Amino acid sequence: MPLVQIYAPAPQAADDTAARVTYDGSSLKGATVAVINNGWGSIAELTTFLEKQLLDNYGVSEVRFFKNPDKGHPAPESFIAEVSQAATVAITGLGRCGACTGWTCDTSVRLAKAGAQAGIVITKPFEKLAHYCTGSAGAPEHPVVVLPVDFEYSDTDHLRGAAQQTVTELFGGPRA
Amino acid sequence: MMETIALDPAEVSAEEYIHDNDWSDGLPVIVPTTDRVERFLEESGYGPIRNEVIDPVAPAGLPASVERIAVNAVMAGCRPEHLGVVIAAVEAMVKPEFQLADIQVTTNPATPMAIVSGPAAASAGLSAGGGALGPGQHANGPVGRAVRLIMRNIGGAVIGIDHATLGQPAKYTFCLAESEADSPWEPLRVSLGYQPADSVVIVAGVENVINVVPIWNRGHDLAPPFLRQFSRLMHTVGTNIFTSYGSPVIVISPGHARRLAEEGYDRQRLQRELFELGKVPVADMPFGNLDIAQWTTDGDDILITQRPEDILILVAGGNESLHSMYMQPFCLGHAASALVRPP
Repeated sequence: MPLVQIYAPAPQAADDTAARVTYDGSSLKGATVAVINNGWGSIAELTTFLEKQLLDNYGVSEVRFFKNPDKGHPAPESFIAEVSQAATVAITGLGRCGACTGWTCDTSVRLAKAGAQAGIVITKPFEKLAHYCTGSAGAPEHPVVVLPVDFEYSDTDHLRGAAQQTVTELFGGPRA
Repeated sequence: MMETIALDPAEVSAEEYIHDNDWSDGLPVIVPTTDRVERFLEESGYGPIRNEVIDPVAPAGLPASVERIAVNAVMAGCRPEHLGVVIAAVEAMVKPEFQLADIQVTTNPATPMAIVSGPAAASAGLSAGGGALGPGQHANGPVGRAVRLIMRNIGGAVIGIDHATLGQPAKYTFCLAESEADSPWEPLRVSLGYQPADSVVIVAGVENVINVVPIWNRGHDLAPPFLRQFSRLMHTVGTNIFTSYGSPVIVISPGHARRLAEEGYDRQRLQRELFELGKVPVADMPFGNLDIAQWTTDGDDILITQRPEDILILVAGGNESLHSMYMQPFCLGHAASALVRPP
């Protein structure tokens, strides 16, 4: 029986590893860390705990909070420039919906390409999407912290635990 | 040139192979054999530009070449005369204002609606008449389906990347033509700044399709109840309480359009009055997601769109004066359009 010759409807992805970034936890001492809120109010309490962890246990000199000024769309270039000038480390979140996971990845990878040590925080349902988006942006090894779905509706102890998980996965154990 | 895949039918059928690679929308497809695709490209007239690459399709960011678009069009059941419209739909979708990346991955049931305005609609066999958004012997189904297959196969929006909580049936196919013959107004493309001789595909991000039957009495004008019922629908908050930014689409049946024209309404007057009536008092907005909400205000009111002309109005559908439709917008992106290039 003759072979059937078909064309693939999907192009093959290029092997682009140029923008791979990794964390270097030792660089946290004395660093300014940017925490970028992409719009979800529910990340606000988590970031309070993140700040305490970073200041108390990692020798961070300052944690600065930013909000994407154009909620609903990728961060403007001016915002990326502002954050990358203000901080050497950047944590962006929260990815807890499809589009906002996309913006979170976009912002974080662009910050990494601008020279920041960058990582993102998302919830479990969006893990595959986050890795897909960072990979498509040329950063397949971009750090992604995956928190449980709806963690933000849990009690204070769980939020503290989520913050602990975030810093541990991004930076390893305490370094101060 | 595209890579060729050789399949031994004794080991795997082409249909199974396509299914196993997640290249279908779940329905059977036409197998894109090399012979079939080559014939399709040749007969379409777009063969000479088969290697031309349109901007990358988000979120995969992979290039959409004309020949790759053709492969997906073949799979969707398109005929060669449909290809120009499909290419234009892709060219419109990848424009930055459309925010395709958001539509592709959102939890909302958002999908592009492709509106074809101009002579290419008839050449492609697209319907602007009765049942244009339903099944039938017209090109609307395969053209809309080709757009969806391109979003999946070139854009990468398979389940798990496409995060729609439920999705909606319009994500399989969503395309219709504008009925110029039955419209009392200038063609939509002309209102958008194109020339009358042009053919254009307009894509709008849509979340819901809602049928409207304005109720009025004999001897009374249609416009007041028509405007009231549509503006009530526009009060429905948008995507995650994002509003003011999308492009609502109102498809007016020829019968309604005739009545409205007789009462002194053209597209621009309808847009102006709907823009005003559609404003939502800030105090009426729900609370809970407000931190992520974004809108534009005018005094104490929230605007439904940035400008009256962002409300897209076209005539299509059956000739009776009973039903028109409101397409609730996906409020993270804005409608975009592209010319249908002759082969």
